[in-house]
Amino acid sequence: MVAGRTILDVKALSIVHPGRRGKPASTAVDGVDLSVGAGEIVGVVGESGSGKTSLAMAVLGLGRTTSGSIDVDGIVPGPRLPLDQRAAIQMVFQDPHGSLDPRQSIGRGLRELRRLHKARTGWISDEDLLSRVGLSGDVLTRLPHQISGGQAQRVSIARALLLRPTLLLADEPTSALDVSVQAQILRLLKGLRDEEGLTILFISHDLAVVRSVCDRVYVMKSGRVVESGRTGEVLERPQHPYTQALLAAVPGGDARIPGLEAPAAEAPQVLRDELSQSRLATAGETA
Amino acid sequence: MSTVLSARSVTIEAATGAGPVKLVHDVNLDIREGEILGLIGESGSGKTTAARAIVGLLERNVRVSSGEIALRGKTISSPEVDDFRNVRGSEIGMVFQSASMSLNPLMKVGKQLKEVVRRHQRHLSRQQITERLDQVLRQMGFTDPARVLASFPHQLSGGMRQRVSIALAVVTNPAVVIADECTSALDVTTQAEVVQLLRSLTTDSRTAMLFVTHDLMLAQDLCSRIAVMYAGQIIETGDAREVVSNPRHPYTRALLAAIPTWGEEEIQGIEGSPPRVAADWQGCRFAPRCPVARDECTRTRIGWTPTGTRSGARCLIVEEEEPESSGSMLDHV
Repeated sequence: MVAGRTILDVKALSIVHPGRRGKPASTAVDGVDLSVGAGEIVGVVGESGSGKTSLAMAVLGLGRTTSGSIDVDGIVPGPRLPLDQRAAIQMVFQDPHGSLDPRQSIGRGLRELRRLHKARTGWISDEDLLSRVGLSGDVLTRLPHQISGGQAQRVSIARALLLRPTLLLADEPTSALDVSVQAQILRLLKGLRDEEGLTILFISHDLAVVRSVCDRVYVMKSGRVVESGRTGEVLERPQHPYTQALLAAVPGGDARIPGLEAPAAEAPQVLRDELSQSRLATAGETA
Repeated sequence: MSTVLSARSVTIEAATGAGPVKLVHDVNLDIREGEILGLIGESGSGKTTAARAIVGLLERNVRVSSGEIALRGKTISSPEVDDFRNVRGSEIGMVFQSASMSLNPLMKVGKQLKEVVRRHQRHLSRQQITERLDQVLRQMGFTDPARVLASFPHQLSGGMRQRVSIALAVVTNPAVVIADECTSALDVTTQAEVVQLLRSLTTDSRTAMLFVTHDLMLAQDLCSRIAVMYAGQIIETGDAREVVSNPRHPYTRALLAAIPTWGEEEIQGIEGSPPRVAADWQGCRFAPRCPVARDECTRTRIGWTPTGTRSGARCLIVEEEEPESSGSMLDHV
């Protein structure tokens, strides 16, 4: 679906976090190439420590980069970006309540955004904005603790939409939500892409979630992209052993993934042994 | 197979400024030797409260207001049994979601394990304790127990820490293990390891287990039976595979439809949100969100309908589908 122009273009990106107090430096991202076309939803999957959040932080301009380049529709993200360019890249975080000011009503939060970004935000009223994310105007007077997790995540998405972003970064946007609410948020993101051409980089550890919303997917392990391609192909005919192991570990995998015959935990036992041994080995170094 | 843990008509209330509210209402459970019962529910469904009542770890303002929890036929829920310390840790082991929270960061793993054994099994000699620790860590899949015993929790990976906290829960050979979302914070491949471990624990040691989780698919993989909770009540129970492949209660169906599948079909969220806690209620708590609800669903008392020897649902529609049942049997699980 890379029919449109490229919005996010990451080339040979490496991120090395320097070691502190005599510890060796650690490579979080190691030569990653990644692109997201206009109106695409692209997933990045990987386990803890695979480098997916370091990548997201760099794209947002909040994290360090060591080498390589990032381009978001002509903008090079970084800490000194002018306010207007910074607004072009928006983020939705995992914990919706954590990303809202607990002492600010939803309406006041939106007014603050409008004051800071006058030129970008005049296109829509608060009520219309909220109705796009499936909320009514009633929430404007509420404080974050007075709304549910699902509603708070809708508010976070609305706040991002208000600034008409060229790229929306969603870092585990449904991981803190109940499954019935997760389904609503996933439908919302998909709808925003279908109807308004929103471009989304979707970071997740949940393969089933990625399968249901992403057009393409990148699988990351230890800072490297080990496999990428159209979601259906990568997740139905995984080539890399790591992707295969990830799929085998999905709970209820045999029921949900056609073609995966053995019950999840028993699946490629050799691989699982290999994985756990490598994990034990790494832990052993520190022990 | 004998029943190890049972709950009979357990209702749990919390005292609030506005009077008592029911957190858990009329819960019936039976767990047999070597059996894993999955207690499923979304946030606020009362699954953790129910599990905590079993281990006597309820908050100060929360109490079991009626019903009975029994371990091998002996009541452990009445106020007279206030010495939970002898039951907890020796008869019932508990594994929490976050291993880093249940382990003492300042104490080596070996010392923490020894402390539990010394407290509950005083007759063991030093030599026997050492042997027991070695044995339990090997059972947890560690190939070099000595090194693990000499480690502080922060020197172990997340999966290793969770395996250590399972070791802490089972080192005294308890009859029941309560695991509350104990794999939810782990990566999928690590989760698969821990799940495998729990499975072998119940088959090898015949331990009974209550596995509390929000993940229906995970429960289907691991558990022999499943009980689904909604708004403080168990609304469906049955064989794990059966509940997932042939759900009877509309809520279980809706929950399954909300789980992202591998196929092309759209996932369906459940409209609305669960009801707030209340002092009392009439009718079915899911009715306001139920696609097939009728007027009477909100008015009549909804009884329990057995759908098999150890399965059933709390729903008027299921009651009509099961002609033989009277809809009044209490013996749920």
